[in-house]
Amino acid sequence: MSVTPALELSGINKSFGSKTVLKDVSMRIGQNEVVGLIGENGAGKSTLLKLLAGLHQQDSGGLRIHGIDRQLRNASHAAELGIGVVHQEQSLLTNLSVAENIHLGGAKNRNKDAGSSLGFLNWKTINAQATKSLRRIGLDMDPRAMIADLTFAQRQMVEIAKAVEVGEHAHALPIVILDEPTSVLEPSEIKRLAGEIQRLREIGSVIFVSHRLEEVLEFTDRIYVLRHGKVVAERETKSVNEEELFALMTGRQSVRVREDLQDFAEADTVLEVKNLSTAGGLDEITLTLKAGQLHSLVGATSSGCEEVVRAIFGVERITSGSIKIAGHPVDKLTVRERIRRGMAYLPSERKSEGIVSGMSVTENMALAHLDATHGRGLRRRNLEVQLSNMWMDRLDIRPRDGQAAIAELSGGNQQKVALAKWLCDPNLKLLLLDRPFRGLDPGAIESVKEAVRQACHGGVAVLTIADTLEEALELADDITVLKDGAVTASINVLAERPSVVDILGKMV
Amino acid sequence: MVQTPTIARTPQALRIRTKPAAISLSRLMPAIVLVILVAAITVVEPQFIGGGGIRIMLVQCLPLLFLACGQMLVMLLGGIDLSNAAMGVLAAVLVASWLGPLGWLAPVLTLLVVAAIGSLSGWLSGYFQVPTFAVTLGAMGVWQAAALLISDQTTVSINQNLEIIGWVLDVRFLGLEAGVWLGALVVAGIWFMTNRTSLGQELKAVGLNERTAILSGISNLKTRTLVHCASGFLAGLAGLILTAQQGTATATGAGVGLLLPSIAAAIIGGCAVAGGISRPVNVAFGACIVTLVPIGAAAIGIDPRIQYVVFGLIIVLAVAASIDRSSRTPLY
Repeated sequence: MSVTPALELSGINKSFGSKTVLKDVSMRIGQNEVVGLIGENGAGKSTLLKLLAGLHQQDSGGLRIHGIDRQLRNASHAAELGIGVVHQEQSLLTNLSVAENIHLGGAKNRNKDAGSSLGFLNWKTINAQATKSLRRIGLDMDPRAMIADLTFAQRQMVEIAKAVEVGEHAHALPIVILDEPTSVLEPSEIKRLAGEIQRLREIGSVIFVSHRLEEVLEFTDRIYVLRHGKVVAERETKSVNEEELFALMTGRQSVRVREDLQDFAEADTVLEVKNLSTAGGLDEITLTLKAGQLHSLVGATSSGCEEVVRAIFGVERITSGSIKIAGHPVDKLTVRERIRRGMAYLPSERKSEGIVSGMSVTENMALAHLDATHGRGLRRRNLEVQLSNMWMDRLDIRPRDGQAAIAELSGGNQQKVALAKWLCDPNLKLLLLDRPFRGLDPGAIESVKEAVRQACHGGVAVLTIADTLEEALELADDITVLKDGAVTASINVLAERPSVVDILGKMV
Repeated sequence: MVQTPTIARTPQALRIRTKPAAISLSRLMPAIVLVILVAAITVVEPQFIGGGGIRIMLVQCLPLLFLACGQMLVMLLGGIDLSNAAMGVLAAVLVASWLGPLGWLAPVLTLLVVAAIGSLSGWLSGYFQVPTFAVTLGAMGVWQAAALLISDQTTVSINQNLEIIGWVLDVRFLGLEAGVWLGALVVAGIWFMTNRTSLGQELKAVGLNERTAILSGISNLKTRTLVHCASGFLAGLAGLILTAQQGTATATGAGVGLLLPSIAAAIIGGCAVAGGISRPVNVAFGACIVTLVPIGAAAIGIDPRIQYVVFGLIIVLAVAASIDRSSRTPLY
């Protein structure tokens, strides 16, 4: 290619202490090109992104931006050179308007800031500039809208506009880095994002980081695969398929075989939900789960799936209806009493609801069943250690160190700990999972799926909210489709063999 | 379930210890600051160590120690108790007025009353989801007023039965007053409770992440009520000691100004305002430091009018030295 690439990395090395995170990484991102970057958790993706965002500095190796050798000093230096990052965790200030947020990102990076003079803000200019930035990526949005009032997807679009604005002021074509942008988007929103990425391609370059292989295949021109800190493959998107990428990324072959479906007519009933309604909008939900059965709830964002699961667990107040576990009514019981009856709930918000950062792996595992490792209210360390060693081995939690602070584990391993917290209960009857695979890398997803299947084989009933329809079809024995808080379809996979299109029809 | 754990031989590579289990310097800081302070005073006033200065300091700091321990437990859950000094004063007034008529029942009843009113604050904040700051701010005013009413705005003097509570400062074991041993017992008990019991794990979990704790079946209403109950009970002990020290009690006397020192002692001891940390031994050192600073300043001959300046500076320095920043890692 005769044109200068927008970004060139050559032989980048980076280590933290004795741990090498990036080994001799070389990449080239052309102008007007969308490049995918994939890898499992811990493969070095985030370190590489932080390097490009100016938040870390490489130990050795070169970085050329628009053909000039650069050493990024800090985040604002990276921004000055036209690199804009849309982080996985959103960084907008929710109490400010769209325009204020976009202005904040750009303001620091220009010598002359048109939006303010002598420290006074010129709202007209700020709003006009924001409108311009939004238009560039095809967004028609009121710049005065408060971020707090926007949906997650809309906020992300503002983030993209902000990242483009950053490049704008560098007087160079912007290089926009999208870190896991699709992990919490709805199908329609993902479609919209696809359109935005197309527009970004016209005005600059994009690095698209994702776990979701099908999206990487759809959105990108070229793909780099990172494994253990090394670039193990570079592929033209047209020339690869999902299986090959999965194999390159994890170093093993993908296993996606649906085991033989069973008939659960004879099995014991574990959960019986009848005409459940809540103030939050659930309308007469009825569900039955048998021992060993995996039941998937599917629906769009505000369809009420999460409320169903939370109401069953007792953290969403119900207005009418009944919930029975193994024949006993539980709807008057506290969360603790429900846990004693064999209920378990793995929330989708892992960091804020699934784990306690600041506690160790062992302490987290013991948390929901303190009686099991405590005798008469006193901790028994040897029991705690035995329990955590056993589950660290069963779920392959790394590192194998019960004393490690859970905050230092990767997302996938944190999720395994959050799951072990419930699986360790020998009396477990009903496992409620809210999008358990969200944000995990394919390797961790396989381990969690395997653990869930094993629980089913052991007679546990599992009610899970599926992130995608494919996921529901791959795992579930029964599928219930929700829309606006009401059941629109109940599908027995064994009897009906539904397709994705069948289910999609009931969702919208 | 856990009788025969299958601890498979794990490959060496997996056995990565993420952190050496060393005691960080910040955890030793309160002790170091205290030693430096004692040394500095001893240089100026050599008889401080020889003349029983340490013992006097330990007795002096007892009310503060109890209040700071209660404050620490409330802070462990991420709350704050602004009413603890007011409850202490109320307890002092109550026990002083009851000792005559009720005899040995007076201290028992007093402790029960303040434990109950402390629990009330905790329960209100937990049940109505009101920040402890707001609830205890209101409670502070109420219990101050109650103490004023009960004492009829005068000094309550004790004509008989003072020995029922006075013995803690008169009887000595191994050279130290019984009250000091009581303080040590309370600190040890709290340490054991927070580190070795299920309740301790529950408190820690609620303090670090209330949502996860609730979803793990831990009741935040129960834990919140319990820590405020403990704070009330410990404020009651502080009140008993105050009355025993002075032989009288007033609603406006000693103890009223102990709220901020109790917070200072807890923070010097390494407690985080955000919750999740309890270090009773370090809080005890913190209480000693807060008590020693004015004593030391007077010994050195610092003008009483600028003593508060010195006090403020030393508190800030001690906090800066001992506060745990490990949970405050920067964003990147």
